[in-house]
Amino acid sequence: MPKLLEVKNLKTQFFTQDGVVHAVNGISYYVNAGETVAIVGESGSGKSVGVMSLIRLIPQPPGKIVDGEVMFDGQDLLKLSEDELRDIRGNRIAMIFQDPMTSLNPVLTIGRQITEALELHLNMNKDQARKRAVQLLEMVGIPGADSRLDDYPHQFSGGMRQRVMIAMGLSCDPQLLIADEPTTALDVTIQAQIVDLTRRLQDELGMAIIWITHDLGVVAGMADRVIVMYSGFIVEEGNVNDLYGKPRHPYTLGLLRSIPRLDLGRQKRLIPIDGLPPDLLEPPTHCPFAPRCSFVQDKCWQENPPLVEVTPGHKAACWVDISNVQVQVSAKEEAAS
Amino acid sequence: MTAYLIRRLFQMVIVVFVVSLFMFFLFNIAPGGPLTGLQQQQRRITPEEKARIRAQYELDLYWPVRYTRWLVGQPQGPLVIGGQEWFANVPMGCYLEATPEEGGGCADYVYLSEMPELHPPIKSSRGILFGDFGNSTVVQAGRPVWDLLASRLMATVELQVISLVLALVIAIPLGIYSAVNQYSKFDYTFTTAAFVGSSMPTFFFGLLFILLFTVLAGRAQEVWPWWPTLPPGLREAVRPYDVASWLRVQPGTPLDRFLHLLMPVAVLTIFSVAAWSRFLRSSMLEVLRQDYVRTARAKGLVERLVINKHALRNALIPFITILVLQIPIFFAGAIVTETVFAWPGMGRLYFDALNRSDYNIALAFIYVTTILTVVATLLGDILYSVVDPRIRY
Ligand SMILES: Nc1ncnc2c1ncn2[C@@H]1O[C@H](COP(=O)(O)OP(=O)(O)O)[C@@H](O)[C@H]1O
Ligand code: SF4
Ligand SMILES: [Mg+2]
Repeated sequence: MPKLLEVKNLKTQFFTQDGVVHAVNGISYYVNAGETVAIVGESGSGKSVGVMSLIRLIPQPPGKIVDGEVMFDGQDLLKLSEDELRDIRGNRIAMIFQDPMTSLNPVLTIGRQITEALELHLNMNKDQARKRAVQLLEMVGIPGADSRLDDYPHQFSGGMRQRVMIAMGLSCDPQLLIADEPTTALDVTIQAQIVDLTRRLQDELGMAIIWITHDLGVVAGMADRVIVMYSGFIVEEGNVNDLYGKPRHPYTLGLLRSIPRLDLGRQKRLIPIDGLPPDLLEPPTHCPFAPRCSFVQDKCWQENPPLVEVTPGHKAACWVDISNVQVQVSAKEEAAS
Repeated sequence: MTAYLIRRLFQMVIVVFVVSLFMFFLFNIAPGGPLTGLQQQQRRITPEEKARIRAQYELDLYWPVRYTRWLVGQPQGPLVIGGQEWFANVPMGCYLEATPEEGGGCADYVYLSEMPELHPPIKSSRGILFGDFGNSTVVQAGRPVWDLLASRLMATVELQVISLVLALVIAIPLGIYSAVNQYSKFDYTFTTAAFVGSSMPTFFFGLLFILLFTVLAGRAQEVWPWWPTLPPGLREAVRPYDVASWLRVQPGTPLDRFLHLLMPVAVLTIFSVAAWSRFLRSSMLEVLRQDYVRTARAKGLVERLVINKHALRNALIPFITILVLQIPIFFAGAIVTETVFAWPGMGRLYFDALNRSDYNIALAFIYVTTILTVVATLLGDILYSVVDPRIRY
């Protein structure tokens, strides 16, 4: 499959009064056309900054993309002029955000906000754009689409607003849709609806998706590959089966064990990962996860492990091979229950 | 909306009523008044003379009675129902106070039945509720307050409208440009200047300008012949004057009026620009941080559209409050600036009235300003619901 997006050594920092925030520390990954890649990690791990850097949406200043390449369809997005990049934003790469309550402009009608991109990128006139906007709203399952175009965002529920955001994102038929925690602000049943909707639309339209979440559970049924981020680094990357079945990074293991599972019975409590998230002002010279890691060794404090392939297509950044340890843990758990 | 409006109107009436009552009471207990001057001039003023003067200004009446007479022009005499007089012997005031030797209290009450004779309605007003503010007592004794206010209104409106328009035209782009270019050199310079500008007392720039363009202008012209001498006060001159050696201005000409406007307008504009552009800057910064601005950028809109279409509208919404509160100021004027430049407007009239205890003027001024303020607040709330679809009443 051709690579649609290839990110190489992307580094983004924020130059604040307190010091330099090392939000993204040289991450590399790729997304194939039509593929779904999930990025997971606790909040503050650099997921949003990482993807917003792709289309240079981070506030500059204080933010700055200090290094890296973002190859999209053969061109480096970081080298494009603002004008050239604007042709791609909202057109070939669309983005939807976490909080549908605040991501829509409160004083403009939904119609205005959807047609804007159509008129801009597809050169439609007002009538065409409006007709297309109705189709889009129908496509994302908003009842009475025609009359709702003249409504304002506050007249929609949270789930409906996120549908509007999706309609807006898909309006120009993008090759890549970046969804930054699109379901985090919604309640569980609505979350499932939005996930289903996105999957259906992907089948119809064939775009690639980068789906960000801090919840591995949401990802399981939807992603082809998963990227795990911690402290601005990619610490593990692999396809869903490998990563869920044989996690190779203690942080991923921790995340997996913090998913509430119905099949584990009542007495099994959720196991949160101990310790605080890392301080991004001090770029660590050791493994960033070391202070919280139960497998930590001397070497972990001396050098930050590189991301290396552990089995074909499965990468991890850890000095310790935890594949055996993990089996033991599961065996112990089974014995205990 | 109708129910809301009715409720609001009802609240407004109460607010105006309470404010007027409160002001009336305050003026009643405030020291000063028509008698102070007299007492200072002639040390030996007999109790009878004092009583006569007090009666002349209706000060012999109790203040609640004065208040109702001021408000609705009542009571003017006994209540007549079916040919019968009621409450005729209720005291409405005290004409002559008893001396301590006589045991204090009142020596001669004003009874309701005496009101038509002692205080004919023509001397006070028919009540402000019926549009009569009474007459000026000191500033221009005998002249109807309404008339006096009307004669001053245009001078104030002229000053305020010109500086409002100027201030808006300067402040809005300035605040927005500064916010959009936050942390730039321009932004730092601007914020510093605006901070200084808005923290100086208003008379500072007034006096500074008078110093530069009137007091020291002659000396400045020795060095820079183009330095203008500007008229420091009033609305127009009474005799010809020289702005520069080559420019003589005739009184009453458009140029004369223009020159008189320059300094007061500049002072008011500086002050508003400093305050408003700071306000707009922070409002704009707040909006630029919002998620929907990021959404607009993610759509690929050019920055100009992001600012003008998505951010500006939201940033201007809170500015409505400031704008509508200019409405009462159109009437009330700028007290300090008008006084510094001897501008014959409302603000200065109020200042004079307070100084010389001309309470009919001061009360009328406060009353009208209060009404305009509550009306402006309502107007602001209605405007909010027009520009912000989230707000519905
Ligand atoms: N505008 C900003 N200024 C300073 N620091 C920022 C800014 N935006 C993000 N960061 C920092 O970058 C880090 C990564 O943030 P983010 O990518 O939003 O995390 P995530 O999306 O994984 O929750 C955080 O520590 C955050 O504090
Ligand atoms: S390198 Fe060491 S500290 Fe880091 S995750 Fe692996 S075992 Fe833990
Ligand atoms: Mg985020």
